[in-house]
Amino acid sequence: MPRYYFDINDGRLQRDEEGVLCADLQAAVLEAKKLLPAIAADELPKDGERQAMTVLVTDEDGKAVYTAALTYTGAWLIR
Amino acid sequence: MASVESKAALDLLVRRLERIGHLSDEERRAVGNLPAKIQTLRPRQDIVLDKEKPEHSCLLVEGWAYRYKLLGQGRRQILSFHVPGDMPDLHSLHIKTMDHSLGALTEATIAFIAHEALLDVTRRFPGLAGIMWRETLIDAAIFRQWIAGMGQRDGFGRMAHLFCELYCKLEAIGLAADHRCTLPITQTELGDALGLSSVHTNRVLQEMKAQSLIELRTRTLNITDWDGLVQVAEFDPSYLQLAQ
Repeated sequence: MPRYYFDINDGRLQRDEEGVLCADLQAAVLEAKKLLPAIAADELPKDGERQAMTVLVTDEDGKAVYTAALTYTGAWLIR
Repeated sequence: MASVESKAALDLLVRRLERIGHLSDEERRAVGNLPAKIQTLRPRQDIVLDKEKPEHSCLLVEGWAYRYKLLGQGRRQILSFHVPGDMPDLHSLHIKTMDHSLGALTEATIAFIAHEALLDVTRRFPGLAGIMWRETLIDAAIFRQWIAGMGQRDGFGRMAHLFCELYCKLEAIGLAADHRCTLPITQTELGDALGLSSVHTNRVLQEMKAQSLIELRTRTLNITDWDGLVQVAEFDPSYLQLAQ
């Protein structure tokens, strides 16, 4: 199985040094789709109203193969 | 004549049972005379698989073991980690068909004890049956903590709780001290136990290191701020029933 690397950026870059074995590119994309919301679910409640995070997926040759972004925008309507 | 290895294994079992409840001299002898078949396992070698009907339970003598459930699309949930003295499939004594798998995590020494022999001592010594029952109830209490974590804690809290739990279990059997212990678990395995992807697991680990709660090097966990880790984990060790 090929290894894919998932770098996360939420203002601070977290490089994936280990990588994840995925059956194919489609499986790697699915991994990214699950990963970003899972991290967001943990971390959004700890921070402010405007947050964004991205994932950049690269293959074993360092070639970028997929990217995704997740944005949260909250606004207080009453005080 | 029992081998030296099987005698050592049964001594370990006696000590383990004595940590849970009082054994009379007769009960201690009965446990010491159980037939134990010793086997050495490779890392990640399975011991008993989902759907199998084992005719023995095992005592983990050396090394680590883990229980897991496989789901479709290569998904795996790790259900528990086990350390020496644990009997991770004692329940198979009364529930015949395995509903999950058990494997060695590291190189491990296992003592297999036939169900027939275990049933015989529990019939002759109801006190022993009670202690073994209590052992599986403590096992269930650990599962309850894991469920509470899965449902209510975030990844950070879950991992902190697991580290506290593993340290306390290892310390109780003399395999850890000074908030330092071995942790022979890969990042993927840790994630599969916590319900986190491997990348998410790494992120939580990095954050835990950044907050100076732990250090992690070559399979050694060093909890540098025990009180801090206990606090973020909301960890209360009483469910482990480790107090003498």
